[in-house]
This record gives sequence, structure tokens and C-alpha cells, in this order.
Amino acid sequence: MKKQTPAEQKLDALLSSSTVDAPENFSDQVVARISAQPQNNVSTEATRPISPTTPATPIWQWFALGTASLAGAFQMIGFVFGIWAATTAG
Amino acid sequence: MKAIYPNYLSNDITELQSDDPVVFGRFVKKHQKLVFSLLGRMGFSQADAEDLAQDTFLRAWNNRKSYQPDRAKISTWLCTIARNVALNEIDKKSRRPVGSDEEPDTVITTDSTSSPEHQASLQQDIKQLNQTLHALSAEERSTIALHYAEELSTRDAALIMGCSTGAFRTRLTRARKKLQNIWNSTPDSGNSSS
Repeated sequence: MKKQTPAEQKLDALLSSSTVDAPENFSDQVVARISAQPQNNVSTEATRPISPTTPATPIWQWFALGTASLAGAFQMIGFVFGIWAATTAG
Repeated sequence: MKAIYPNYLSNDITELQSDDPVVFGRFVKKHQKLVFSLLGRMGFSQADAEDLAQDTFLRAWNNRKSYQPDRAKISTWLCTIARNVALNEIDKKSRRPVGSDEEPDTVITTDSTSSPEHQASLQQDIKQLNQTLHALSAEERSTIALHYAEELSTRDAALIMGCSTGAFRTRLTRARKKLQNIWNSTPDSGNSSS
């Protein structure tokens, strides 16, 4: 194994020691931040399994369906009226 | 079949997954040293390490129910969160304009019995170490930090990095070599040959 130089030994020693420390009241600070959160049970909500039921359909989807149905009905009436007009003419 | 865990581990899991922030505070107290040592070895200043450690534990709290004891140790899970928080911070800092994020001097709590000269020299060494670490990429910094974390085995470190043990060793060798080269080239590194 390669022998370490004094500089490398110093680097190793520095990395082996902790350069930053937790302040004495660190856990209290964390608890205070948790308590200040809008919802304490975010994770329970987030990890709840998704229900297999179909999600509610938004209102605009019903509106689009109604409009398309109305347009389709007018098309049908126009077509039937066209045939009637052609057969009864003259 | 329900897994059986030793008492100390089962206590840790209970504290982690409790809905009471005060009980979670006990969990924080037990594991804060590990998180701080990891962040310190990644070259963060005292102030940054405090902010990032808070973010780490906040994330741990928000995701506490998703922790699965069968998949990883608590220390491994916590270090994965701390590493992700740290990598995000490094990424954010790299996007900021140069000079806008000057590192404040690290405040080191040394024992009061050491002489002022020794403390000043230690401060200088740590400042230099942080500068050297900043010359490495985020991945290299986290590789070094995980290697020196006392509570983690090479297997745990590889799990956190998302690679095989062999790949972790290769990355570590490269990162250490690069770190030593930069360290040796600095004038105050203690290298008599330079």
C-alpha cells in the first residue's frame, strides 16, 4: 500500500473529524418547524392508496358532451329535412 | 410474515413513524450527528449545514410513513435524503452568479482546553478543506462524505449512491485521488515537498 504523505495524513485526519456540529437546541428547531407546517399529516395523505373508483368528471366535460350532442342532433334533423324536401319537391 | 427487529431499532422506527412531533424530536436528537457529519464532509459551512439538516429532517418527517425497514437501515434512508438535499443545494448554488454565495467562515466548536493558536490553525485547515472540497463535483463530494461517515458501511454508501459496491469503490478512488492532488497543490496543506 502506498505510504501517505504528511499532507495526505492531515487531509485524512480532517475528513475523519466532524467540521460542523448540531447546535444544542437543534431538535427543538426541527420540532418547531414541523409544528409550523400547514398540515402535520402530509405523509398519511400522500401515502394513502389511490381509490379504484372513477374520479369525478369535471363540469366542462359535461358541457362539451351536451354541445356535441346538440350539434349532432341538428345535423340529423337537417339530413332528414333534406331528404324530405328532395322527395316532396315538384 | 412480520419481521422482528431488535429493540433499539424498533424504538427508532416507532419514533420515526410517530405522528407526535415531540417524539420525532427524540429521533432527530439520535441521528443529527450523522446528518451534520455528512453535510460537513461535503464542504458546507455551519450555517448551511444547519439549514440543510433541518430540511433533511423535515423531509424525513413528511415521508416517514414511506420508510420500509426491510429495504434499508434508518441511517441509510436518512443519508439518502440528506445527500439529495445537499445535491439540490449544490445545484442551486452553481446556478447563482459568481460571488453571490460567498461561504461564510465556518464556526467550529472545539473544546475549550485547546489553545487559541491551535483553534486558529484548525479553523484555517477546515477553511482550506472546504475550499478543496468545493473544487470537486457534487458526486465526488458526496462519495467522499459517505466514505468517511462512521455509521455507514461501503454497502450502505453504495446503496445511497444507487450503484454497486465495486462501482462505489472505483468512484471513491478517483475522488480521493483528485482531492489529494488539489490538497497537495495548496501551499498550506502541510506538504513539506511543495
